[in-house]
Amino acid sequence: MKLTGEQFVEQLWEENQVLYKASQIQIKAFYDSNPSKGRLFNNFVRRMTNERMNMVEIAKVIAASSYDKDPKELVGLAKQMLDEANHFRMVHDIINHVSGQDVDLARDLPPELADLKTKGARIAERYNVENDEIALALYQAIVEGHASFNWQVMSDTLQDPILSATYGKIAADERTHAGLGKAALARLLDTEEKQEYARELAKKMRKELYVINCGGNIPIEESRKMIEEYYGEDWLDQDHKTVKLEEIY
Amino acid sequence: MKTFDNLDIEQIADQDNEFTIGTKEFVDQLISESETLFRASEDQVEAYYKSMTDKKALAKHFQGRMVCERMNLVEICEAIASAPVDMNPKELQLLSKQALDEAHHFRLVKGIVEYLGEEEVDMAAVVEYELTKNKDIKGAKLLDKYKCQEDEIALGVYQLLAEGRAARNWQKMADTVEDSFIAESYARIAKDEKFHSKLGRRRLMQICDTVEKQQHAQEIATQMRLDLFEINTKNTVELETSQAMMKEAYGYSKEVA
Repeated sequence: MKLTGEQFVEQLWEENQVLYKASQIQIKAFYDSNPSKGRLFNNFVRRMTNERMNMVEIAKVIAASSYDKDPKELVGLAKQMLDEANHFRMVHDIINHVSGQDVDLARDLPPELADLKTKGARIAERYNVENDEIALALYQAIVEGHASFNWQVMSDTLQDPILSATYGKIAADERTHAGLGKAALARLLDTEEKQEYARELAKKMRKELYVINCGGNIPIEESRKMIEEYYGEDWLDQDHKTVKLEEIY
Repeated sequence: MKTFDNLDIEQIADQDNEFTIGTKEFVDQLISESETLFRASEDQVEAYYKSMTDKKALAKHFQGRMVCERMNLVEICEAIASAPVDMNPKELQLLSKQALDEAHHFRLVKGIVEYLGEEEVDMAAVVEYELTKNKDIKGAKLLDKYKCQEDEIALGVYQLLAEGRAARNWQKMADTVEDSFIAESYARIAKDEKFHSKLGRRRLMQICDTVEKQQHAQEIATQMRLDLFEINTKNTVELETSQAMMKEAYGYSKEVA
């Protein structure tokens, strides 16, 4: 039976929760494992680059938008783009604050931009969000939703009050972006065909996000089990090594 | 570490202290040399809105303005999408804020078109029409003409002059029209355009640090003032007094422009 757009979004959001929880565990494990300054630096640079990539992807979406795109939606996207630019600047400033030196963007950004395995923003490009409004809304709802949970767990984990407050602000913005995606999906998904298409894309996006999260943090055995039990398959390669939580704590 | 709101971002545009000595003076001279363009344009705007009483014709006029805001939005987004990797995050924040303002303006002017025309805008048809039939009378077409996506000096001059002229024009319009809905919308737009003009000033102060670059900026400004006046005339009314002011200040004549 066909669900209403709102019911579909509610279900989709519910189905994201295990992924979000599993990712949060891995992020917390990374920060709780007392990473070296070098690893922390690389982690922050990766996050900074991801924010810049999000900004660029949204800029492309706006530039390519169809003539009949509602100005209200363009305002929402432009607000998201400005948020991403703010986040880029905030994480940039955090790196300078933590490392005590200025980030060399010309040196540090190109290798991160070339790395296809650890950036959620890649999903925007891969799913052609410029030309597919369902994919764009899913990207906002799932990827930005994932980001909101991730930034929140970082905010809760980090001891430095400045870092914690900054990441809390980023998490709040990402929640807003996820809300934009959810509202767009509720409006767009008015047929069974569209809902089926969205369901298939959502499955792929979740899987990619989990693999990306493993690449950028510490892949945890308990997270892997949660994923396997809920989504019904192991999303990591058989030989992918994971760490038990008791090895961290 | 700051979490940024709009006020913080607007304050960045006012910070003058990080520039090479001489560039500030150069850019401020570009602005003062543009004063005649701004005044001549304001006079035409005032005359146009005082004389315009037909609501349907005004709705059509604002359709063009609405699409111009959309063109600005798209151009700024293209500039962000193709920004060099080492562009300072502050500059990207400022450009993104400008893009958000343009999106707001697009929405605001759409509201004015619907208010005057008393019907919903067929956005696809209007944008298509304005971009094919009326592109030549839009300030935003100069972004293309001067290749602002590849030439950051040209982009800075455009922000300084075109957005500076827009700020003055829209404030004049807000002061002239009697309808409070239109006046309030355009007062808000004028304030934003002033901020965008400051971005141009800031950018030019950062980059015009050699004689060659200043000469390039000066050459663009000289021609852009004439182009902007032509566009202003086509969108409002031809005033002899404005033309005379432009002739005296910049040697303007209709044929040359």
